[in-house]
Amino acid sequence: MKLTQLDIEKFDRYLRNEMEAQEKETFEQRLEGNNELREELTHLQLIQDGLRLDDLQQKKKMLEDWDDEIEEDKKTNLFGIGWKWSVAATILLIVTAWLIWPQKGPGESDLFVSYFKPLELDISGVRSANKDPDNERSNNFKIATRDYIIESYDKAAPALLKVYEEEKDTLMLLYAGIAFLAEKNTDKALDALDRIDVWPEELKDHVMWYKALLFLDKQENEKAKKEFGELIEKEGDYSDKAKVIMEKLD
Amino acid sequence: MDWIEHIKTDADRALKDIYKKHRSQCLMWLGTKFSLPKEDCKEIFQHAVVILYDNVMKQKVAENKSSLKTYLFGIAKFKAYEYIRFKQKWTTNDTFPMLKDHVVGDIEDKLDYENKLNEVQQALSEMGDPCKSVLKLFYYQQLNMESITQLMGYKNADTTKNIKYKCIKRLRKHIFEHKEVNQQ
Repeated sequence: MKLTQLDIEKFDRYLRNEMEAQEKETFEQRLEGNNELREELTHLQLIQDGLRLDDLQQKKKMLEDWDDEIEEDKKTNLFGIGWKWSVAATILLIVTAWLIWPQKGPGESDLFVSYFKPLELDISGVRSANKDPDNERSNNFKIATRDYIIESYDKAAPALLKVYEEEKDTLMLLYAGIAFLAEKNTDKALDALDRIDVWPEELKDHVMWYKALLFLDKQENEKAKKEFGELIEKEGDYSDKAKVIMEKLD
Repeated sequence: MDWIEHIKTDADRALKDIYKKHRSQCLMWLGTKFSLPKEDCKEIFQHAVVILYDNVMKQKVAENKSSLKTYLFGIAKFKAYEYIRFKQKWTTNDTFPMLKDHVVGDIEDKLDYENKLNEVQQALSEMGDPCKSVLKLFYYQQLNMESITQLMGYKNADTTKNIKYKCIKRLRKHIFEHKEVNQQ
């Protein structure tokens, strides 16, 4: 089919959604009864997709180049500070590590890293825990839970505390505690978890588990063992993991 | 200016800013969440940034509905699942298979469409500039003739219109008519 400039302009306006309703309807009717015209439209759509893919691939290539630049900059900065300073820093690091190492417990940090995984935030659970499910949750709640979900714990932790202050929803304290713990702010994490004075049954295990891990990270092994011991006794979801950790601690 | 507008008006600069700002946090997040090596995390993050750009161009992003970080990390998360699921099936000959998958979408005869797209890309690279740029600005970035005239430094919109017409004719001839002759 031979296409004139006017034909192509018409196709373009159709593809760019620039036609008035009446014109669009007439054009679509023409398309329905004309195979050749339909084929031309398919060709143009294919060209559009080809151009799109080409552009996206170019952008991907561009990002790869930038990444190489970033990596290169990092290396330059590392070596650019001068070898004397690098040697001094390394010696200082070795001496510090040597001084600190014997005071640390037998791998509590490793245990914490191996077992600490923030509790997934179940939005439906959180909603149903609300006293008035018909009432839309506050904007602060939405921001706090969003930050928690995308693992932006530094922002999520104080935001969740704020939601607790506003709504007195105990679950928010649990998530705030976990978020603080993810940020390695053990004092604030403990403060949040300790504030859960009335424990709904379904929260108990979670609170005990994260408190146990928190004590592990603080190298307060006796307190950690107490929490793990209770979890083993309860024979709940955390019981098996608690047993393994207890064996390693003993 | 919000990030959507920034991408629309100066894509390369906006993407560079976004890439630099969120790179380290997103790589760390992907690494921890999916236990992937750094190189894989980079691949996923780069795809996420490109798809963010594509979504802005295709007007799939609602104005300021969510913050850039939330949106970008959301795409990265989705892409990470895709990457883990399909990594095995991609061959080393494929260039950017994730992007191809993204553009092709859920059509019935995927393989056939991918082959056709390869032909279009081959023709585009043979044709080169200014045709490739003019067509891209018009068909993908959806700019009007006046804006393309300014960007390409042409005399007026009529000149641009004329160039665009000649380019699309050449491209069609190269892909479709050339193919028909070969098939006869």
